[in-house]
Amino acid sequence: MFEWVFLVPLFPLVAFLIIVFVARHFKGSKISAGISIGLNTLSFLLAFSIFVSLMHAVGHQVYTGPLEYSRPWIDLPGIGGFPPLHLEVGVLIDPLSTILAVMVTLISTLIMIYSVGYMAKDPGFSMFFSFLSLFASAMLLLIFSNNFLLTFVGWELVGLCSYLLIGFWYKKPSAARAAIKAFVVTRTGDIGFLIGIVILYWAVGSLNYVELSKMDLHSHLLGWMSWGVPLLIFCGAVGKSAQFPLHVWLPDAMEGPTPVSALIHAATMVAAGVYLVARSYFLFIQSPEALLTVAWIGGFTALLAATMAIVQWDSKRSLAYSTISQLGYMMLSLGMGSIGFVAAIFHLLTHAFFKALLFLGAGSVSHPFHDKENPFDMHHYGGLSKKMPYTYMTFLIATLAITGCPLFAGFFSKDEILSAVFHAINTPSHLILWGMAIFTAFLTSAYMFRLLFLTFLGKEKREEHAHESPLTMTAPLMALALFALVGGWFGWPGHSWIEGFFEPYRALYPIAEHGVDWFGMGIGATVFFLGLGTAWVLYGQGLRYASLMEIPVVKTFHHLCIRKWYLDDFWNFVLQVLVYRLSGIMSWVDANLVDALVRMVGNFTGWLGQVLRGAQTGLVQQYLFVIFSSLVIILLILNSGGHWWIVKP
Amino acid sequence: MDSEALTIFILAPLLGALVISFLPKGKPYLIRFVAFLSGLVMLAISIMVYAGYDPAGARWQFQVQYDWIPTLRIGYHLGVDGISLPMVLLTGILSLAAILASFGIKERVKEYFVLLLLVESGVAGSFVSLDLFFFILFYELASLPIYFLIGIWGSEGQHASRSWVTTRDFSALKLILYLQLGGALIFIGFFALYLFSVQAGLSHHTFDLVELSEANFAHIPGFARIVFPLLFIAFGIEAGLFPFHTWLPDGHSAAPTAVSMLLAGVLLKMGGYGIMRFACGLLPDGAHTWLQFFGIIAVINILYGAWCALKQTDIKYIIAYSSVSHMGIVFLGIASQNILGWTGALFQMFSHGIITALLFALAGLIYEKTHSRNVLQHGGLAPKAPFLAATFIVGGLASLGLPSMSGFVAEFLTFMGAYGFLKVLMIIATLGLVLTALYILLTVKKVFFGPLNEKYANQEFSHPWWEQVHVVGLVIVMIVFGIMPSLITSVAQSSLGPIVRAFHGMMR
Repeated sequence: MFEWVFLVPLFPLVAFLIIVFVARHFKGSKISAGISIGLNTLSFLLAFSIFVSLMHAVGHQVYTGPLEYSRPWIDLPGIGGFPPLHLEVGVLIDPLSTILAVMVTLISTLIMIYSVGYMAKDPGFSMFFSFLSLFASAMLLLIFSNNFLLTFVGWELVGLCSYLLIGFWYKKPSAARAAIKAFVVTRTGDIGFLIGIVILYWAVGSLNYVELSKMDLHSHLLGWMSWGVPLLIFCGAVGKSAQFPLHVWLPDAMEGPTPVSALIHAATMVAAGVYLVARSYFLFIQSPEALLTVAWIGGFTALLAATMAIVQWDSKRSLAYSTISQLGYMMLSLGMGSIGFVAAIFHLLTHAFFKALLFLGAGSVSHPFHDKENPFDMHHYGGLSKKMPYTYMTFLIATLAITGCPLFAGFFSKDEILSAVFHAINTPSHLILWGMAIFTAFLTSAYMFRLLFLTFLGKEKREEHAHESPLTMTAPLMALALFALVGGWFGWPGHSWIEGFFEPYRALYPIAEHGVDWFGMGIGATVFFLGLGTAWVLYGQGLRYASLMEIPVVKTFHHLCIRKWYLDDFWNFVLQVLVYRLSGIMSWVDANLVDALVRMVGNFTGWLGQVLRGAQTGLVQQYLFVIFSSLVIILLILNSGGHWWIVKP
Repeated sequence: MDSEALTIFILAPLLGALVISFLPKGKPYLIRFVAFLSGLVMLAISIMVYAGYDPAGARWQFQVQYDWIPTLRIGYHLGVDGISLPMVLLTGILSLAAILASFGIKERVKEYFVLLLLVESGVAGSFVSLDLFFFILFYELASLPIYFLIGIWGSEGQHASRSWVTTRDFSALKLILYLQLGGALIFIGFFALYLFSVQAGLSHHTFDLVELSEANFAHIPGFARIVFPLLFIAFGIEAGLFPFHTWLPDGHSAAPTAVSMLLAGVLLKMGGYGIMRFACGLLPDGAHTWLQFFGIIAVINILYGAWCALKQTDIKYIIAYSSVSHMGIVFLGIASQNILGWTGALFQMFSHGIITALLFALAGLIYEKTHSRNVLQHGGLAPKAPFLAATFIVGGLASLGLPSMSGFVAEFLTFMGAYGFLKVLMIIATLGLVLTALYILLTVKKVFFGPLNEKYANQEFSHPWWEQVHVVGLVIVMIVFGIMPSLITSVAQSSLGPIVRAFHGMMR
């Protein structure tokens, strides 16, 4: 069973190749979608059966550790004291990779089904499915990889798919720009990741996860490297998971088609950063400084993004900030040490389902508004609950899930995080983080219900044909809604299935048992209702927030949030000065200094030629004069015995 | 057959040129056919040699040796090892690709192909020649015809920022003078090696590389310290070493497509190859003294080239400056003096050769269809020219070092190696990765994305078979070597080992 795991990423790759080379040419048919969905389903079934076998093994205590299948990729001998280089291509099966693979294959299949309806009239229908398949393949490669380098390969390839899909409607200049922004900003983080890999290799001599996790890293990562290496690798996660300060690309990435936003920029790729930290947790856990940095970046991002989400009028952008915020939660949880490890993964999984659902719902809502300049502008919406009952119901479930309504998915997973942070409080710093997390939970509830109320409640803004979407679109919504509803029960306090499934990690990342956290649950439920109430008061029945804007403090705060805390402006400034201005200077130097010198040499030679040409007069008398006078001078010099400047008496 | 393979490798294009010069002018298809045939032979031989080389066997294989001027110890001595092998394969691939890319030439077809084949013969010869004198001979054979190729068939772009680049003659002259300067310095360096070979422990003066590598120039005080930088700069000029790189953008841009491909694809590599083979291979102690310094220059190359590329608007200038940047990675790999860096440098030479040739081929096709090299005047070409768009994006991604394509392996190995010796420099150099991504993707955006420029609404973008074959072929090579890098790394080890071991002896 397990040795067939390499087929999981391979199936979607085959779909990509078939579409690009064959199916693409059948214009107007939906065969590409069939191929993608078919092979992705196969991939899901395989991943799921591996998952079941693994679950069985863990449940019966016969799981002995991660399984690896690998073969060499590059082998260089060690010469003269340098360590030899063994790079491998291999897969790693353990609870973490398997459960993520199931999530990714399931969601990508559902979103592909949704896309059949959503992209039906798009001329790039086939290419869209080929890119989605390529993405699924790269993402699964990233997940199953057994070493840092192969993870990096998958990492960059998902980045490529993200670039291609954000810029899918490349005729729109804004989409083309957003695609570049996404690629370049994440790549800035990836540089850190790459440097981290290189330093790790030189320090430890291996890039293999299993080998590394068994090593005593303290004796290898000396001095600054003990926190430097994990934080360099974390740079990659900051870029990919859109954490402060590299979060600026994700809201712009909403230029892509909505299924892409749901799959790549909500459920899977952006969670890769969290996965990377979890995957290389052995590096983080050995350095408290690194953990605290991760926690602060995560906690701060969660809060910052939530404040930006609450002022957006573009439904997708608001959801994008929400994604950033939730990813921040996961990072925060990982930053708490082993106590937050499972909570972060749990939240990653539940979040993938309800956030994908929210995006697909937003897409379904926008569908009748496609003739508007921005179909996602909530100014057009209002009172859609009757016209779109299925979309409304599913969106409602997802909203209840993300805001942490008791018994819905997010309630359990977010509660795990909050209680992990609570239990980790031993310094003032952790206390502040806990406060931030609670406040963020309140904001989450507020901005999500604002979104819901503005879209589905209130007065309808246009009478004409707002209609429900076709079944290919609503069926995936309902499937995802099911998970948003019951997904959290896998982590039922006190009887947590997921804790059991991750039992094998206890040996690596031991934690103290703590019972059911009633206090945390109570707080979670309280802030949920507070946020709901706030949103109801301000947006539930007509727009009452206008009076709030009269208050100067609120106005300033609102302005800061709208301007995205000037972070986009900051990065634009960096780009303008460090990149464009400097490139102008370099280019000028190249033309007017470096090359000018070269031309000067050339011109000097030319000038010398011009001057010497004057001697070629063609007059024999002149030539003879020069010859004889030179002869006389030479003779004089020779006679002077070398001291020709001394005139002999 | 085995022993004469390399001779055929050099003679195939030479014979092709000879045959073409006897063909009637009015039959261009016949001329093209002969050229195609000689390119095909070159590719076949290069693959045969590559496959036939036994990494576990002796270092020099496929050797042939005939005396020519015995008194001066100049001989016709050919052979390949793991360093020249990838270059031979590169030459084989690009020779055929360049010939295919030239099928669209309409003026003076006969002279064009004669000169092109002469260049290819020269390049082939310099990579397999194990005699310093013959190396220079082939070097000149490779560079001189380029002057005419640019001067006659070249193009003139719009250079707003380079008012002095008035004509293609100017670019051709600049290029040839620079290459000749490099050639002269190489000659001085080689002559010094010849003159001091006895003092270095050999029984007689010699131009033979295999004999010279037995010599130990470290015994001669100060010798390597002076001759090494001379050779490094001499070869560096050809490889685009800062600040001697300015011929490169002007020359590449003025050249016809196929010549740009050869220039960037293989002629630059002759420089890098020369540094590895002659400068470092024969004078490891000089290298050890100087390489830290050249490591700094390498980083300047990487960043400075990238920054300059970002500012350009002429698509060929963008690619040319990206070559300056990417050759910096070769220098950085060499400067790191360990097996990782050297493997990376060699891999980068191969990989960059393929990628940049592909990009120049595509730039040529874009220019041919749009009659403009200014990326600001293109725009939205993707739906009109899906073939060009797809291949340009793939080539661009390879150039910016996307994993699964050859550029990534090269960069990763180089950075790995560089960290072992020049830690801070390596970290600075990685900034080049972001800049590269930026200028490549911006170029893609300007040319292919956005709304379509109305000028090209009725332009036909169809491609005859030869254009598709060489473009797709290069893409395939790029991906195959990116996925299976051990195709190069495994053959190179036995030959890189001795040089790197010599460095390590020095470090201790």
